[in-house]
Amino acid sequence: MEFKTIEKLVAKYLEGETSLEEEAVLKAYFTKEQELPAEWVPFRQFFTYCDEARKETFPQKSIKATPSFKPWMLVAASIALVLTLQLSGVFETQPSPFEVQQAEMAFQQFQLQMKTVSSHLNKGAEKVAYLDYWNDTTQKLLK
Amino acid sequence: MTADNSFFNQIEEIRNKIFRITKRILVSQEEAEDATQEVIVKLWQMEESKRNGVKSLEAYSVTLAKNYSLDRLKSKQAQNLSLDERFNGSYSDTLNQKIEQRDALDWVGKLIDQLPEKERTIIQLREIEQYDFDEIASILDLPEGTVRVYLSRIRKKLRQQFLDIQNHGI
Repeated sequence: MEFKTIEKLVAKYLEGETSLEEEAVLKAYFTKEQELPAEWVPFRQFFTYCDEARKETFPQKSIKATPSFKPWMLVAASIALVLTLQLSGVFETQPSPFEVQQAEMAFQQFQLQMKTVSSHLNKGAEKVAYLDYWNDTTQKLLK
Repeated sequence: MTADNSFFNQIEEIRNKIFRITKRILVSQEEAEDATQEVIVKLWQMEESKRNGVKSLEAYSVTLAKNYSLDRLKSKQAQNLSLDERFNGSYSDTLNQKIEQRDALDWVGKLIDQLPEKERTIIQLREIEQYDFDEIASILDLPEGTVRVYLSRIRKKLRQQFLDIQNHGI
């Protein structure tokens, strides 16, 4: 591009008389030309800034409504399932004879304890029944 | 439903333009984000028939965004009269130091941002959004000739400020 042409366009530009097309010519010149006269360097910076500013977008903070199903989700789900079953003991092998014995002992102990508790409870219940009887009699007398 | 969908499709591209003009006028990123949301809600709430009657939704949206931002700026300045002065004052004091630290593009933005809001708006519409003079005239509700005069004055002023910084600042 001829220096003279640019000079004329710059004058027109400063008067606010250039068209968008002419401004594009100026921009192309200022951004490509390596050796600009010092007085034109500001134009390069200005046009470059405007190019950058034009690209600015509204910051997106969008939320996806329903995440689409991805193959890795299947893998994640199956790993979770296996872990859950493992921990809940579904895959546990047969208990050893020692374990069976221990469990039986524990059960018998528990049974014994429950019997004791129950007998004591029954004693209490007998007393309550007696109290009830006594109460009834009092009521009759009062009447 | 289809009308709403088409509105959201249209607004997708316009939203960035709304954001840029509100940011240019309000300067603050946060306030520009708020203003953009407000303007989009206003557009969405418009009656469909009215919205469809608008010649160019983009020009209408940019006009709305410009008016909204200027109103917001005015009410802010009414609350805090010294805001503008303070900004300009501290700016020129530390200008030289700032320029040494910042990269060139950054201070071009700073120079534009310390212009009065009307001039910022014109720079945004012409140099950044690259609207035709008749579009700018209708957005600003000014005669085309006046827009050209304004623009010429701003371009000369900015160039002078650039040259001053180039000669003394760096």
